[in-house]
Amino acid sequence: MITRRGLTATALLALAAMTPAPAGAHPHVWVEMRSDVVFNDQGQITAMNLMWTFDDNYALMALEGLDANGDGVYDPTELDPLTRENMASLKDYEYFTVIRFNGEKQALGPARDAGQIYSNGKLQLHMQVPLVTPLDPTRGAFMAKVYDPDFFIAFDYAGDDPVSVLGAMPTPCKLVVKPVPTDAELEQTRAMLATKGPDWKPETEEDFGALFAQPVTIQCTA
Amino acid sequence: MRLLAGLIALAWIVLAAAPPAMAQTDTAPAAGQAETQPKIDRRKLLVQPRNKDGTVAEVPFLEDPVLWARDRQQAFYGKLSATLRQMKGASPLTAAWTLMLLSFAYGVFHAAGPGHGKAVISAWLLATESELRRGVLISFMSAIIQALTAIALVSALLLVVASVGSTARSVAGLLESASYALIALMGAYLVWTGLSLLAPARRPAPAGITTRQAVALHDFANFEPRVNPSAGADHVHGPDCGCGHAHLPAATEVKGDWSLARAFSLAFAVGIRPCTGAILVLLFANGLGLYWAGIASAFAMAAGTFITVSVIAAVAVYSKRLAAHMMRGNDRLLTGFAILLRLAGGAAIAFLGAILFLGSLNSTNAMM
Repeated sequence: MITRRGLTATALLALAAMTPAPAGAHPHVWVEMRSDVVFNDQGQITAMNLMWTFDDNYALMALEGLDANGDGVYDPTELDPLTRENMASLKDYEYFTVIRFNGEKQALGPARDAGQIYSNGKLQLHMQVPLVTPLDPTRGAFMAKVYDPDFFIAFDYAGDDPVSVLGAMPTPCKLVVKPVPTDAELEQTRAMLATKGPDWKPETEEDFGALFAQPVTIQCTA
Repeated sequence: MRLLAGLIALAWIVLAAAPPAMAQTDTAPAAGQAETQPKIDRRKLLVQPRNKDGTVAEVPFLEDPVLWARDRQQAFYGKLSATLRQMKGASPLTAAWTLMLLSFAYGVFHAAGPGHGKAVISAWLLATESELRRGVLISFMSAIIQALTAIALVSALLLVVASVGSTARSVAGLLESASYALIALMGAYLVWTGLSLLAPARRPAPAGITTRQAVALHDFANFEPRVNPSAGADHVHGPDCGCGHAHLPAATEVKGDWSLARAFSLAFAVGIRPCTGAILVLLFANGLGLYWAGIASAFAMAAGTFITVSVIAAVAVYSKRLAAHMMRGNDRLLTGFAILLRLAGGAAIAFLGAILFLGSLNSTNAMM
């Protein structure tokens, strides 16, 4: 049965589809995120937990038609098909997560425990992205960034303490999240970029987007 | 025409609305049985799946035409902007030289283009041998003035855009976007003039219009039937006949008392309307960030136009027989071909301009 709301949403979608949709470098989806750095009992980092809360527009579009039993509630099971397809394509993007250890990019395994929840009018996707090799933060510099190099999705840490530690972090270590760049810092980056050629790439990063992402580091003083 | 546009719009709506509507009917029977998976519209995905080589997996046209079109546009813009960046990045000097050379060639061939040669020669046949020198001088002056007009017009336009957008973070980005938007507009204008040329039996400028151009056109129209009574009707000058050559001073105006002031006013009247080619090259150069090369190219184009017009004039003056022979050419076919070229070229320019414009909007907005 086609509900009136469904019809309206379909009409809106059709309208949205008719306007030229130049897919380029500005965000189409906004994500407010939280992350956990997951430790095992040996004090090694084994995974990152990612929790992404989507903007209302994306949520509305994604949820449309997924209330399979029509009870007005988007159950987690009703959201599963969407979650599965999203996870399948996110794998191709390595879940927008880059983890470096002493500057070396670390291999990530397939994400697990993925699910979506719709509550309080917010759609949230959560997953755990495991490291193929567990890392000991006392033996090197751990750094994690979650960002979309194409800016199609805008990832931002939101709220107080958006990153937490789960499990047994070694005692001399502490979690540091680099604050959002200030205007002065952005201006510095801009000035630096202005001196570079069009094909310049950051030496220590994959791409441009990495320059603007907030790195999560584990710093140990031992 | 309006009906056709309506039909196209309707088809577009149906196509655009189809996938979500289908997804809805699919899910209806699934109610109550959790095992049946509703088909997920690909537009709902955060990101589209990728191929092994990192390129985004293509959406088949039949599965979702809108997404398919978006992917095509994205891929096309990516290639285009990469080429532009390469042109600029590899060597600005090479890009500038290429632009100037192309502009020069455009000037040479455009002035010799179909449909116009006849009018030019007709005018020059009336000129006597002794007046060739003066005619060439006026052609030279008008070509230069025409280049200057185009430069002044485009510079003024870009200055207005820059001052309006001075609060924006990146004036350069805004100027780039404006350039591409104007290129798209120029393309649309070309298509429009092409279409209006298609309309048959368009009268030459009616009596009473007093601009120099109209007077010149009137002279041509009066002159041609003497040679070939039917030719005058085939050969219609559109609102923009191109660069210099079409606005060549009519022979009757070149004759008579010679004074530098009169020559100047003639050249000015002819050159005051800038030519589309010069405007396009200026806008394109500005988009590339090489405005100076655009200015140089406008002059190169003027030089090319001047050379061709002078050569045709000389031929006409020194060999009336040859000129008469050239006049008998199959002008109707050439005119049709010229209109076709204008329509196709205009559409291509409008398309490219629109793509570049949309793309540049994205890239300039990204950092704001």
